[in-house]
This record gives sequence, structure tokens and C-alpha cells, in this order.
Amino acid sequence: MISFPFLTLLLVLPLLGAVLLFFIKGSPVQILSNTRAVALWTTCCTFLVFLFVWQEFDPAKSHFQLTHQIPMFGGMGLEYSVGIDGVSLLMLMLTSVLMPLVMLAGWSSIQTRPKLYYIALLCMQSFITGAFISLNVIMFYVFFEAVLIPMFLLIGIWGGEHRVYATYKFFLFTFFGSILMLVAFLVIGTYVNSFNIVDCKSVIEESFTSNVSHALWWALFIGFAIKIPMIPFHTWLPDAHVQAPATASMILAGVLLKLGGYAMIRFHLLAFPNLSAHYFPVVAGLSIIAIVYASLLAWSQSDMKKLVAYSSVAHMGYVTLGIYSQSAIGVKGAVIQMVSHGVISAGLFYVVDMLYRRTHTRDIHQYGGVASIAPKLSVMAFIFILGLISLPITSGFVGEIMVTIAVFKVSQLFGILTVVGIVLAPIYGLSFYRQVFLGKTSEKVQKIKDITLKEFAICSVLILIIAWVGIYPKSVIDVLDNTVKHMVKG
Amino acid sequence: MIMAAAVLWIPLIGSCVAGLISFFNQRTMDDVAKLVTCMCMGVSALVALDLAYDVIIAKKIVHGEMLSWIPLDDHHKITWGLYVDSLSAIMAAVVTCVSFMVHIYSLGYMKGDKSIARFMSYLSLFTFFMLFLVMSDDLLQLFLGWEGVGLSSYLLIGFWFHKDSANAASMKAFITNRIGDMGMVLGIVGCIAVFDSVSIPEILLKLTTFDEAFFRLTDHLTINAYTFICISFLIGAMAKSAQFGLHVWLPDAMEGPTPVSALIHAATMVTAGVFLLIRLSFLFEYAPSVKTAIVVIGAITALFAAVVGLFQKDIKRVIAYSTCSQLGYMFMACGVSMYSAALFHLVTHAFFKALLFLSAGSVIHAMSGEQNMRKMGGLYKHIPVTYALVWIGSLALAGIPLFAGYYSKDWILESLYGYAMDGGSIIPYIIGLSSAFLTAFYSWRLISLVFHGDCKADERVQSHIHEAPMIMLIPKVILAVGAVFSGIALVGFFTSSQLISGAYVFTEIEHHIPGLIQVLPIMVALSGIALAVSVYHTQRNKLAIWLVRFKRASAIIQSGFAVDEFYRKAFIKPLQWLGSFLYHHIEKGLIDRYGPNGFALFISRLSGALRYLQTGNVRDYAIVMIAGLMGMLGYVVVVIK
Repeated sequence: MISFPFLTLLLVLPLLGAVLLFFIKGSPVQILSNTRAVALWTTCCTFLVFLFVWQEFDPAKSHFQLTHQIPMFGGMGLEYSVGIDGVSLLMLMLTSVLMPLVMLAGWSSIQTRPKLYYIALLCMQSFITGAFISLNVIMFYVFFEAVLIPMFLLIGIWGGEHRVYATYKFFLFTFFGSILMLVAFLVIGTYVNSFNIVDCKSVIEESFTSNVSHALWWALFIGFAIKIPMIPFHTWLPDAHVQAPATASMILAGVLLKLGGYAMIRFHLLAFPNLSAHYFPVVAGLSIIAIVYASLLAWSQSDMKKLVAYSSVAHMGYVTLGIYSQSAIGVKGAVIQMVSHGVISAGLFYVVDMLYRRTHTRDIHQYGGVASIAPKLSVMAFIFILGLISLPITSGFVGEIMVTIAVFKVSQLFGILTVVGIVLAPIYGLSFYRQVFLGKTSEKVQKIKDITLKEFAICSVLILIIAWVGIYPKSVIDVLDNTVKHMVKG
Repeated sequence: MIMAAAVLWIPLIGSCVAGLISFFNQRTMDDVAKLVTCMCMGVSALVALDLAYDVIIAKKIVHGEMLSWIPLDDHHKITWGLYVDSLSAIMAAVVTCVSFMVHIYSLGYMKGDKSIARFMSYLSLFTFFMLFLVMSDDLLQLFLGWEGVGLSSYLLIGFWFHKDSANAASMKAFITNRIGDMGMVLGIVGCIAVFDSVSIPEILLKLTTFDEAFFRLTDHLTINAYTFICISFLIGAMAKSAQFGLHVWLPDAMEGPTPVSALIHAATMVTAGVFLLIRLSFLFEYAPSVKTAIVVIGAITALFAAVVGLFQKDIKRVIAYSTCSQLGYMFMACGVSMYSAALFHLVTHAFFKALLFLSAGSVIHAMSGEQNMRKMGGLYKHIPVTYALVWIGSLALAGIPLFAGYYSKDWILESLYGYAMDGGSIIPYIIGLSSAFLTAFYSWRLISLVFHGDCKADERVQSHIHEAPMIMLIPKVILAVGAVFSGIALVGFFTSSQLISGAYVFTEIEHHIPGLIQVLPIMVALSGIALAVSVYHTQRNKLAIWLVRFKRASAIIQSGFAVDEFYRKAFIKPLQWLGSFLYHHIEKGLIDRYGPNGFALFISRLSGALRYLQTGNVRDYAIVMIAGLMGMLGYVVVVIK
């Protein structure tokens, strides 16, 4: 039975929208209003298509579903091949839910070159989707890297003062990782004689001599670790976030970082289970260092965006911990943590953007007492911060506790170290809230307006997801159950 | 089950209604918010009393699942469930009743505050989370309640968020509690690792087939799993119940409105740690070393807080340290396995301490916001009802016969004596007695300073001194009834064996207590009162001279033995320094400098060096070309031949 290729539609639809944008003509005002309308509608339609995908997805199956293949290049193994499992479905959910919100969030803040801006955004959506649904290693690689281009443009053209430095740093880091990854992929692909992900099995790591497989593991790991990002490959992230426009930040933190975690689950767990177990102490050590280090750094920042960026690094530490614990709970926890972090950090970046548009500064010290002037905005921000410090009932808690359980079972020592994050998160989270929202009202915030209806709507959607995953995570975990069972032994 | 659910969810409804009214800033609907929250609380309290009656008299346990929460694997699930045994029922009844009283009192106390709807919403939200904590059937859900009350406490301490001191205090409370939560999480994941479950009844069931389990920390270091889990939970309990070391947040928490101090920081939330110890008593019985630690911690806290309480100027801080000290008693009781005694003291303490706090609130109200006792005095003529109520509360606190505190505190002291007789140390008993003496002393010091002598406030404040309105008096009178009669009414009930169903299976040993030991606590309390009265009524001048002479010592004690200062110097400052050090020297100075920037610099230097090859001079190129040709030619001639 050949069903309708929903996944391909999901991939192509944003591209179609982007092409459509090319043909928009008229006065600058018309161009602005038309492009953003087209972009918003495209993302909304994509979301509808995603709902179909969700409907078609059968959580009882453990292998890839909704597959769609087109042979290409004379059977060199480079065919077009897409399909999803539980992990990709959740990542797709994150992407397709966030994109319309991101479009709305940047509705009126982009005035220059709107056409290119929205084309970049739509391309980005398409590429991210492509990376999540590819079943072909080379295709995955192409999408994985293609994401850089629109991001590069978004930061480079609409970014802040030091955008050039940030883009180069961003590009240098990610490209360095990519080269290592590409080599590893090619070596594996030529050896297995197939570039299909399904063929990436655990036999691979035994097929090579031990030196080669260790080298392959490291090459892939560095590539993924840069994306996620992990210490010491993380320094591009704060700079990129600070310089990026708000919408780009939301996508970057919300979806783009998840590519790294996704790739770790997809390739390391499938192809290198033994080596990943062997290197668990290394990864766990790095992750815990990341949690502590990034939390402390987040605490010492005065730029709100940097603070949120460092908190992202800390939260991604839990993701790597969960994945490399190689237990079902850990991997599920890691995926939930990715979803949760995507929503929470997007929300926080949006909060920062709302404040920035009102006061034109991101310096924490210039704020104070926003709560007395804009109480509703403060309530929204507070809920996101509760997610950030992973209070129970928010999605952050579910992810973190599952990861902690898994790590503790694998190694009690690392389990004990992992919980340090519980104390560190409120230190930077609450001191951020206190400095910005509480206390006496500072000069800058005297005349700001409270939240608008649009902003309220965007925040509410994000908060609903946070609460939903926090209170009834079973609905998400059920999607993952069979996929993960198939992936890990324990 | 339905009743239990009703007790739990009704306060949340009230909280949501008030919260929405506050969120949308409908000042005109403030009255609706007040009415709804109080009514919900009242209904909840009534149902809770009925439920407690049902559960305790019929000796049945309510246990039901509501919804699935986190599925661990195919066989083990964490669910949203309710579990009400006699322990939960007693706690729920106390929490809802005190909370109801505080709700009503707040109507008067917070009258005119422009965000009263928000305040009522927080109060109800706190009650909801507290009920969630005591009625949950598994540890993770208990942890939700645990964090939830921490959150509400944060919100309520920082209720007046334009006050910087309030914001600092609320953050301090939350973060200190988070240190305890670290322990809680470790305990929970430890339970999962050992028992594959966090459900309390299930752990109890599995524990009956007791065998040793160990956690491996490193190759050479292993730790008994039960000891590890119990230590972790103990850390959690210590933070919540403000035991020595993690007590620093409680005195500062007095920045919050006084009703909050009464409800959260005296009667209910701070007792959550004791509740946890009682709830998991079956586990602690397998970790005797941890139980000894509990006794030690309890004893230190009881004595330390009582001593510090003697030197406080702020009326609320005196009562806060007193709370700390009483919690120490409860810990000691838990440590010697007298869980019923701990629970009994928890219940009576809830009544008389809430009463004392609410009365302190009335005093502050009367004094136009003044909290310094040195600026009060002679108030008994102006606010006689509050004066009488403070007497009742203090008598109960000091443990004078017929008042509630007597029965519970006396029982704890007796069990400490029994502990000593059974081969334990006598020191806890001695500390218990001396703390009882200090308790009586600082209570009457408070009464003397506030209500007797000459009023030291200025004219304007003096002219405003007035008795609290009825709406504030009635809840206090009801609590006073509890503070007087809860002891004598419940003593038979608590001392009957097997009160805490299923919690532990150890019979509490009856001791033969000599007659002298029985009257000793009363003597001690009375002598404390007598000494305080004599010092503060006749020897005040002498006292002042003494205080001046030992100025420095008294300043150190007043600051709580400088524990705060120590933490600031030993932890907070170094951490701050570490944060900026890491940012400037590791992040910027190492990773960035030698990573991307170093790479970029290397490329630009390299290209700078290579640039010199491109001179653009034909002669240079020709030389290189000829040199190359010669080289090749030489290679062919010499090597290949």
C-alpha cells in the first residue's frame, strides 16, 4: 500500500512558499505585508500537514514509517528516502508548532528586506524538516549543513552590532564539525555499501579495527557536540544568540540545537552502542561540567540573551547525559528534555524580545520592577522561568528527572553529580527574574506597555505545551516507547 | 476517594478564580476573590475534618489513582494518586483548618492592599500544594507538592515585590530549599534504583523482604543503599524544616506578610520535613546511623534556635527562631522513633504557633507596622484581647500543664529520657530540658517587652494603637481554643498504639518514668518564666549594663552565630567569583582565544607570511623556476641515473 507522501509534502511545502515569495512585487509596504502573510500561511499549512502525519503515525511500530523513496543517481546509494519514527515525530512537532509562532513573533520587527528574510525562514524550516525525516545519511548531511545557510543570512543581515564576528564564529565551529562528520559518514557508507540509515547497525563498530572505529566515533561526536552544543564547543552559541534577531534566536534555541541531539540518537546509539557505552564516563563528565559551568556563566551575565543562551548549554547537558546512558528511560527523558527545552527557551527568548522592543536594551542592570508596570508580561515570564528551573508540573522536570533516574542507574556517582543542576538553575533563573521584574521600577521601564493580545497568544500556546508535557507526559512517552525499545538494549 | 479529591482540589479552584481576577486586574471583583477563596477553604476544611474522622475511626485507607504520570517502563508507572491514611488525614485536617483561619484573618490584615486577590490566590495555591504533599501516594508526587509549597512560599515571601529585602529573602528561601530538593531527588532516584518504584505503599511492601543493597560510588567506595536514601531524604527534610545548617532562610522569610508567616513558616510548610520523616519512618528504621544523625541535628537546632531567639529584637524573628527550635524537638522525637510524639507536637504546635504569629500580626498592625520590640511596651492596656491570646499561646508553647504544648512536649522529653535509659546518650534529654527553659524565658521576654513597661513608640504611633477588628480576632480565638484544648483532647488518641497505620511496625516502648522526671519539665518551664519576669520587670537596668559589657558576643548571637555571614563568605562570594573567572579566563581567555579566534589569527598570519612569496617581481619568479628545474634535473641525474 502506498500512502500519500505526507513527509515529502512537509518538506516541500515551505520551499514552495519560499518560491512564491520570489514573485511578490509592489511597493515596499505591500511587499512587507504580503510576504509575511504568505510566510505565515505557509507555516500554518505545514502545521496542518504535520497533523496529518501525526494522525498517520502508528506508535505501535518500532521501525520507520510513512517511508517514501525515490531512487536517484543510478543507485549509488544516494537515493531520496524519508521516513519517521517516534523521535523524529516529536522533533517535527516541535518544528511545525514553533514556526508559525516564530512568524507571528517577528511580525512587525523586521522592516528591511522582508522578502529575503521570510525566504530564509521558510528554507530553514524545510531544511530542518529534511534533516529530521531523512533516511539517507548523505541526504541527512546535506540538510544538516544546509540549515547553516539561512541561519548565516539571518544573523549576518538582520543581526546586531557584532554580527560579522558572530556569523564567522558560528560558521567556523559548525563547519569544522561538519567536515569531520562527512568523512565519518563517507567511510561508513562506503564500507557498508549503503547510505541508508536503516543499514547503520551496531555491527559497524565491530567491522572496523578498533582504532578506526574509535576515530569514527570521535569524528561523529565532535560534529554532533558542536551542534548541540557541548563544552568546549559551545562558545559560538552565546555570540550567535546575542547577535541574532529574536526570531532567529527562537529557532536556533528551539529547533536547531535539537539537530545535534537527534543525530546522536540516530547515529551513535544505532551504529556505536558499545563505543558509546565505553565513552559514557567521558560524555557524562563533559555534560555535568557543562551543567555546572554554563549555569555559573549564566549567572554572571548581564545580557539577557546570553543568560538564556548559557542556560541552553546547561539544559543540553541533560540531553547528552540521557542519550549516552543508553537506557530506555534516559533516551526518552533526553527527547522530552529536547522538546521541553525547545519550547521553554523559545519562550524565554520571546520574553527577552518583548522587553527589548519596549526598552531597546538587553542589559539586566537597566531593568527593574517590570512587574509593577507590566504584570501580565511578568506572569508569562515567570512561568517560563519556572520551566527553566524545572519545577514539577512543567515539562522541564519530567525530562530532567527521567534523565537523572537513568544516569543514577548506570552510575551512582554521576547520578549524584547530576543533581547539582537542581540548585544552580534557580540561582541564575531567579536572580534574572528578580533583577528584571522585581524591585523598584527603573527609568527605562517606567513607560512600557503590558503584553499585547498577540504576544499573549504566543506565550499561552508555549505555556500550554509546557504544562501538557509536564502534567501528562504519557502522551509523548507513548509515541517514543516502541522506537526507543528498539534502539537500546536496557 | 471523592472526599479526598474534594479536599485536595477545592482550594485550587479558589486559587484559580482569585488568580484570574488578579491577572486581569479586576479590582472591582476583589470581593469575589476574597469570598470564593475563603468559601473554598472552609468547605475543604469541613470535608477534611469529616475525612479525618472517617479514616481514623473506621481505620480505613483511601487509595486511588487519578491519572498516569511518568511511565518508567512497561511494568512500572508513576501515577497521579491519592493516599490518605491516618497520618495524611491528620495533616490534611490541620492544614485546612489553620489555612481557613489564616484566610479569614488575612481579609482583615490585608484590607486595602491593592493586590489582595493575588494574595488570596497564593494562599489557596499554597494550601493546595501542601495537601498534595501530604496526600500523595508516591514520592515523586510528594516532591511535586514539596516544590509547590516552596514555590508558594517564594511567591508569598516576596509578595511585596517592590521591597528589595523581601525579594532577597524569597530567593534565599527558594534556593536553600533547593539544596534540600537535591537530596529529595537523590532519595527518589535511589528508591527507584533499589525498589523500582516510588509508590510509598509499594516500597513498604517490598521492604518486608528486606535485604541489603549497595550503591557503588567508585571502585573502592560503596554505601549502603538505605543509608544513602535516608541521608538524602534527611537533607531534604532539614531544608524544609529549617534545621541547623539549612535554617538560614526561615528568619529572613519573615519579610513576608504576617499571615503567611503564621500559615507557611510556622504551622504547615516547615513541618513538611517532619512529615516526610514520619511518612518514611519505615525506611529510616533500616538506617540506624541516620536516626542518630536526626537526633543530633534536632538537638543542635533546638538549642541553637532557642539561644538565638533570646537575643532577637524583631517580634517576628523571635517567633521564627522559636519555630525552628520546636521543629528541632520534632526531629529529636523522630530520631528516637517516637513518631507519634513528633506528630502530636506538630499538631499542637500548629495551633499555638499560628496563634502567636497572628497575634504578633495584630501587634504589628496596632503599632502601624513597627516590628522592633524595643520600641513597644505597655500595650496590654490598649489591646487586651491580643494580650490574653499571646499569654495563651506562650503558655502552650512553654508547656504549662493543661495547655496543648504541655502534653506533646512532655511526651517528647519523656521519650528522650527513655532513649537515654535504653543506652542512648543523655545529652538530647538535657538539651531538650534546657531548650524548654529558654523557650519559657524568651516567651516571657517577648510579653514583657511588648506588653509591659512604658511605650517607647513616638506619639503618632501611640495615638493609633487599637485592637484588631473582629475579623482578625475570631480566627485567633478559634486557634486559641485549639491551643488550649487540642492537647488534652487528643492526648489519648495519639498515645494509643499503631496510630500511623502501615508507617512502621515497631511498638513504642513504654518506660517507667520516675516522678521527679515527670515534673521536671514543668519546673524548668516555670523557672524560665519566673526568671524572665524578674529580669525584665525588676532588673532591666542591670540587664542593660550586662548587654553593653558583652556587646560583641550578643551581636554575634543576635546574628544567628554569623552563619549567614559564613555562608556568604564561604559559598556565595566564591561562586560569584568563579562565575566571572570562568567567563573571563576560561570562556574568553582560553576557549575563544585559542579556539576560533586563534584559528582565525593563525590563518591570517599564515597568509601574511605566504604573501611574501608573491613579490610580483619577474626576477624572483625566474630564480625560483630555475632553482626548481635544477632540483628536478639533479634528482634525475643523481638518484635515478
